[in-house]
Amino acid sequence: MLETIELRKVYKNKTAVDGVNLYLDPGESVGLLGPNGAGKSTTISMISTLIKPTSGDVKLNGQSVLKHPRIIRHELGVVPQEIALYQELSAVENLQFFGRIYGLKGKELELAVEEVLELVDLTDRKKERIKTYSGGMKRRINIAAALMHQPKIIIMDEPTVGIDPQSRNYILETVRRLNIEKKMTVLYTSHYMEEVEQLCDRIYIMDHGKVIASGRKEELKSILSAEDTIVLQLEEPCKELVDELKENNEIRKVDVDGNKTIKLIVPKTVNLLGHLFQAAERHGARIVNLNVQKPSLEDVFLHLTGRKLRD
Amino acid sequence: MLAVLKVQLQKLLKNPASVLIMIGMTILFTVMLGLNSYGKVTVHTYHDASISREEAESWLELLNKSDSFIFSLTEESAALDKVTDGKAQFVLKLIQDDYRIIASMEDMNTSALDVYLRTVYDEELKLRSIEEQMPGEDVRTELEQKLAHPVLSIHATEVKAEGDYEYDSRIQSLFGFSLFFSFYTIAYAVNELLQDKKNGIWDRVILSPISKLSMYSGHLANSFLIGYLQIVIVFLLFRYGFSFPLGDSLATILLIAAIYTFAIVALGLLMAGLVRTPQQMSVLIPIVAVSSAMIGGAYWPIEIVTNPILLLLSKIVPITYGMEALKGVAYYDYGWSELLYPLSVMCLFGVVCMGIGINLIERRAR
Repeated sequence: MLETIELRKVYKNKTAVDGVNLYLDPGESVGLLGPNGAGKSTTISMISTLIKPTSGDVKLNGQSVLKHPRIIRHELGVVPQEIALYQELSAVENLQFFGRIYGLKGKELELAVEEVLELVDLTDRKKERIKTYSGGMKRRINIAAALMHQPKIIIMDEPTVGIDPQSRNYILETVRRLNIEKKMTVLYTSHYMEEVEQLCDRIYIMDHGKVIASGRKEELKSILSAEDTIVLQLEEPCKELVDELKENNEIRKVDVDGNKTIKLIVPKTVNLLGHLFQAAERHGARIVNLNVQKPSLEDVFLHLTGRKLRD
Repeated sequence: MLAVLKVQLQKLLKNPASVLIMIGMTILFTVMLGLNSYGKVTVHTYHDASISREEAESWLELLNKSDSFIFSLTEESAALDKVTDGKAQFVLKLIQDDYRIIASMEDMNTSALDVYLRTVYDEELKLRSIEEQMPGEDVRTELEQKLAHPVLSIHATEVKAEGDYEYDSRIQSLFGFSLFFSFYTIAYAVNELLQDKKNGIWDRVILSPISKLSMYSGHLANSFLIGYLQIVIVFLLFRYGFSFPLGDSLATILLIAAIYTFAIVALGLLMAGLVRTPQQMSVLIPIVAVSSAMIGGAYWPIEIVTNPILLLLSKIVPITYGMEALKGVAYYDYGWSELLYPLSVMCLFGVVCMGIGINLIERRAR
């Protein structure tokens, strides 16, 4: 349905996006995962024709979107990262405006407004000015505005940034409903691994402008199928123990989280537990908890880049 | 275009304070600086014992038909104190069938007052003399009728030297402050375009099927309408509410205002192209508004400026041409041939600024 071919964007001396290839099939929910500055927003700006790529192409049903940008305008809804709404106008007035620019009018416009307000559950506050809304409510109207023209594809650029957990869950549920009930194709960008893991069938992981891995969740996790994730929790932080573990060549990755928690990625073939206890005893560190986990997408990202998603 | 225009007007209706303040400021400044000093000199007047107070009041009624002086009756001591204290240049003393001017110094104003008083006294005394010689006849009414349909009419014209100019503080204030304050309204309305860009609405609209031409047209039409409406309201208020002499052709005045508004919308767009943020634009607006009003003759007549650099600079601001055209119609009944130059310059200015402005904004977007 929608695909990018060797998409590349260079700003003066900086390559923001470097040869990105991705595709979306109809009705799919696809995640674009990566830390801040990975090139996610630039990629979706090029897909939506907002910025021109330095090279490469974007195709919708085989037709070049770059040569014929109008073909994607009715098909695509974009939810920007910022709250792109008129704060001094009410929710209804904002939605009417975004409907009008897509040619909706009269009864059709009214119905579309009511429908999207219902979807984001803000019908009862529709006449209040946006500036009086909470952060989560603003984000919901921000999504509603992109749905006014009933697009087939929706691109969401980190739609849950800076909101409370309750609103976040509501938005995630809305996205899920759009995908499952309305059969909308979703491209969801985020640096929250849990969101992408929860919502998306397939995932592209980006870093430094490149797609470094892609596939279904299970496929990505299978990158680490030959490895275990061991989480050690200490009573007190112990730098000497961490240093010793980092020097151990059998351990692939050592990540310290909050001083007392150490996450290790080790090959399944290596029996490290005995060595771990001995090292802890040597450095006077007391292990209060030890857990051998299945790898998460976060672990996959750590494995691929050596960094955490929110570094 | 209509969707963009409508939403901008909705925003204005939700928050009309800024435009209302600008209209209020124009009215306030025009009233304060235009009406208070629009040329009439107050002449404190007293009378001696040779005439009664009623007789003095009937003379004042005649004298107050003047376009240049206002005569007010006061006590002798109070009137003389004004001259002694330097609060008045002269006072008038009415005596039986005559008058005396008590002046601290003699200048053009004293002479003008004397000429005016002499004219009024001569006419009135002649009339009284005729009435005495023709008792029982309504000489005044008959004379008024004859003057209304004279046998011969005389049309007087005068040759003006280069540098001579008309001045009426009411016209100067009305036109100057209207153009000055409308600059703010228009430029701040254009700034909404930058605001839309900053908060991402512009990008959202780009992604819709409407064209960029429609997006710009919607914003610029909004800026034009608000600015023009402000000028029209103020002009109509002072024309019909305060009877300001705006010349014979109000339609021409309104057309000039429309072309000026177009030029300022374009200037606003150029400014928007030169800055990066709405905040920078907000800083730039008063700088450009005040400086162009100063060098363009909005605060004071451009004719009194002699500095060649300032005069040269005045040629590149649209307010100069707006004032020239408006004052030309109000003072000198300018026709289309005289208006062609200032109107053409404003149109050209508008087209050039708009072209450069849009180009700069688009280049930045890329």
